Amino acid sequence: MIRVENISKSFEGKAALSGITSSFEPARTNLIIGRSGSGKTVLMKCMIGMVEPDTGDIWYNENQFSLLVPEKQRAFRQQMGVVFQGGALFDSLTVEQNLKLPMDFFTDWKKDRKTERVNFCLEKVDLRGVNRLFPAELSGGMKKRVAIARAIVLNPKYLFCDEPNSGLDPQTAIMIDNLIREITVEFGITTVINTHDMNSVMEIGDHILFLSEGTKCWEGSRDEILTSDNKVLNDFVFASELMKKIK
Amino acid sequence: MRLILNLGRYLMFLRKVFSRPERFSLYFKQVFREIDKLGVSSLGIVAIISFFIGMVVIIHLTANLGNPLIPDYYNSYTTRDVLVLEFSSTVLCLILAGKVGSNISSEIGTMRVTEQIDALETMGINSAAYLAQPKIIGMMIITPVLVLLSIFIGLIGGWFISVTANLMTGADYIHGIRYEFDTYKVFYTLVKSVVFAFLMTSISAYHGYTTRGGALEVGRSSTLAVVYSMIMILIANYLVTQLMLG
Repeated sequence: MIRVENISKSFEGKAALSGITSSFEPARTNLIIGRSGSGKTVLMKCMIGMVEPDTGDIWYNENQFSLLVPEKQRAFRQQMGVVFQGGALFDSLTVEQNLKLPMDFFTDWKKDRKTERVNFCLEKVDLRGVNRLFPAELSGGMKKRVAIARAIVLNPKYLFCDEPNSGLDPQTAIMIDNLIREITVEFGITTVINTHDMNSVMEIGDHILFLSEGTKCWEGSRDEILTSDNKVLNDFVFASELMKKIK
Repeated sequence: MRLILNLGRYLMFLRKVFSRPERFSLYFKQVFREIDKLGVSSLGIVAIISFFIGMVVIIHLTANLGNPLIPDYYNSYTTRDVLVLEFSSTVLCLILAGKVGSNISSEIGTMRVTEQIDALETMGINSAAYLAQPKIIGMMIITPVLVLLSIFIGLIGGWFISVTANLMTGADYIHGIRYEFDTYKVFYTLVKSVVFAFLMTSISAYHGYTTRGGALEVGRSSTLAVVYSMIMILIANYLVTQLMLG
């Protein structure tokens, strides 16, 4: 479980986050939603230690992340898997080498076991026969799936995905969403996803945190989102004609 | 003020780069990859430049110092010292700063703007050390080799033009390059090359690592990396020369 308490962050005097408090439970897909610039990515970066919050605490179960020294934070990050918006695969490495890199650093596994694990993770994301391909040879959806496979290769307790289905066609986007959900439930991972895609919200939003202008505006589940009377949330969720009709 | 700020950030970057590696064997392999990628791939350009400079230097010396009172072999003796003392270390490293420096800076800069460095950090890997340390160590190993090779090829270039253009006899040329040979000068040039290799790779890596923005900023970082590397090489050249020969 991850708990954020009263997180605030400013950049050059401009508040990006103000007093965010929430908790994210394991084996559930926790979504952080909001318009572009609402502070979703900053909150996620605070959670993974890429940005230091001005105030507040982040707890991973009983560990207060912000109190760990940088070396301990780095070691703690081995329990995290992160899927970046663009995939962030290493261009100079093949798919297999991309997946093996964390294992090379943090395990003493033999080569065969690492290859076995690579194939297992690629199977999980429904990719076969791509081990020797370079990221430049993959489509956008395949890159995202490889990024997910790399994120889970060390059996993380926590999975963070920054807009995992942005730039993908609707079918692939739903496939990625379902894939993340399956992995989350199967391995009991605490998953946090940044998105502004309403399809994802309705498909996999077990727990949703809605941010607006750096503040927590609403929190609930995908069933509650349709019946909420929060005006800011409604303006965001029912921005399209289709969603208005669904409502 | 900004200069001091950047110097401080550069020193903090170096501290991160030279912190204890997570897994020594991975870094060790990476050093050899970088030697191949950055150093061995520069062999062609080093050979071409050195050969032609060797030819040009001896032509200049013969044309401008041609005097019946000065023996011919003095020209090849001077060519040797030009190559050993300045060209093959300083000028060659200035050229390498352009080639290798922009390569390092743009590679690391692109990794930064495409979140690959963030990905390394979130895996718990010291990205600065993993990306920069093997490049710095690799170049510090291979640059002295390139310098020695440059001296050798430059001398061959000088010999080639001396003999084919009848500037002097082959025997005079060989006598000149062996005349009053001082190994300390070779040691001095090797020391310089190690210092220059450290400066060009670390400065370029720093500029790449601190890139923020997009493709435009990656290009800007590469330019800054080359400019600062060259300036620092020239300053270091003066300091090392003053210390070792002054």
